[in-house]
Amino acid sequence: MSSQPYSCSVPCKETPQYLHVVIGGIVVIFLIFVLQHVLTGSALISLIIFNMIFLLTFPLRGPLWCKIIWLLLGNTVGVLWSLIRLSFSLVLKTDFYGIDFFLNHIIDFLWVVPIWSLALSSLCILKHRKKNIENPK
Amino acid sequence: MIWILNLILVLLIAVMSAYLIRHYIFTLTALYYRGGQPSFIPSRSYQPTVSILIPAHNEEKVIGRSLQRTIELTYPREKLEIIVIDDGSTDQTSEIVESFAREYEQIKVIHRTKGEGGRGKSIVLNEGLKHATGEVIFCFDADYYPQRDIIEKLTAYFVDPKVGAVQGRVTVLNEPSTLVTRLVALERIGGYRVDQLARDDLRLIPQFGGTVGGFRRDLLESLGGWDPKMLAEDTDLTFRAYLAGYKIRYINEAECYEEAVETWQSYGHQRYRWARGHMQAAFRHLWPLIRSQNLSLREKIDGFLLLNVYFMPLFVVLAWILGATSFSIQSSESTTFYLFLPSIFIYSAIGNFAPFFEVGIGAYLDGRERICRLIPLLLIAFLFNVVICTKAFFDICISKIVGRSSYKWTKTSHRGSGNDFINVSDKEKGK
Repeated sequence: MSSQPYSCSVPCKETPQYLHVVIGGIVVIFLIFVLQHVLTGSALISLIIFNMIFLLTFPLRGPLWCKIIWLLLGNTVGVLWSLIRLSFSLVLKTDFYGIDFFLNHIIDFLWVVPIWSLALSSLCILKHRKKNIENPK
Repeated sequence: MIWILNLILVLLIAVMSAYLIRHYIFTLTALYYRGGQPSFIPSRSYQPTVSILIPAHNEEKVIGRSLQRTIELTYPREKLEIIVIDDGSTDQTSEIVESFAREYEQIKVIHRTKGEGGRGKSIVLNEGLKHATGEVIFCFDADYYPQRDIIEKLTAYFVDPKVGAVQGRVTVLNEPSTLVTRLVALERIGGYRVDQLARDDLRLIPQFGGTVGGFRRDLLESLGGWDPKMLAEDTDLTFRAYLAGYKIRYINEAECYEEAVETWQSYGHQRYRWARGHMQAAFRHLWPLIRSQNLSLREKIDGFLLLNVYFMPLFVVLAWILGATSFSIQSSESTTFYLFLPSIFIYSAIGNFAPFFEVGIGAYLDGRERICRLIPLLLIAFLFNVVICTKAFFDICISKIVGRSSYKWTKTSHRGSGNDFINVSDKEKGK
């Protein structure tokens, strides 16, 4: 009736990349500083939230350059998205009585989640590639 | 009037925030937490006798494959019995199962008549339990395709006398078939690779999923077996085991493939049954859970959230409606208006991201490069679940008021598309 406990828990856990988080944090602060000169209101808040959410990706394993590129790409898409949204509301000249306030950040998910999932997919690919180079079959 | 609206909204946001915090805690635990419970390697010195119950109702397309796999299991044959309960099948299931039973002595078959069949899984499993002789009772669905050493991996945990049940991981076999199977695969990744694992690591309430899991026979008998009145018999059994003072362990490395539903219609039927069954279990177990002396505070909190999880889509919709109403009728100069603005905004943005984060990290941990890209499409499944859960809630309320249940058990049908992804002979296909 005896059994040996594992020395390490299965499945193995990741070690957070703290240095990446610090560098990512600095980049995010810089981006927010720049963005506040370009955007205001809900568009700015949306991008701040995207940056906060994206910071959760920085502790993951994977190259820092990949994370920063996706962060910059996400911000670019976010700015373009906000401009398109703003153009629409100007063209339509409508006030949705506050409903748009609730819808805006739900609609923003249409770009936030895809950008994040593509970034995650890239990190997965690079992680695999690195593993294959380190341990060729 | 407005303050009542605001109060309800605050309560809803508080409940939803609890779930969002839970999502983030589970995800970060699955990623980084190393202080989990001890894992056990299969030990040859502890190998109890095992009975595997396989209920089968019109499963001709998958039962052969499943039985072939069970006879390939590496667990010692003299300690393993496989009991197939043919639940009044009207197709070739009976003949396929009999042909396997003639060839392999460890396979036993119980036939239920056509009149008795199709009345729910619990009745069938209880029938199997009567004939089972093993110390540990495992359940596998007829479409499941386990790892060869899955029984060793799962039974190893029964060395701990506090462990009453174990649960393995379910992954989708026919993932590339349709969009629905791919989304189900993502849900499974989030549910098992992150949720169940984190629950086990944090000593919370890992759930017995009704299949790819096993119970101590004496515990199962003392609990009275599966309750035929419950639609989610697995959730019901989970909570009865915890309330009796036992623990359930989740073993991530014990994997079993399932054939996922392929159409939105089948998905809807399955999820409706889960949602209604889960709500039924919540009504039954919430109060005993709160009062239980056998559970720690953290287990009670997790159990509470787990039992109410199918009410969440309903709460989200309610919060949207109330939020929009409150926003449009309140003066923009009032203090509450400015208190609500940031909290709703932040919740909606960061909070709604939590389930995507959980599933995405699960896929990342599994090294699933391409399926990550489908994460945004989970929004479709979520919206579909809103409708399903709302319907289940109103149906269960009506049945409580009327005093009788109008639900008729609908079994998930399997087309055998999983056969395309493994080497299956004609005999296993039932030809």
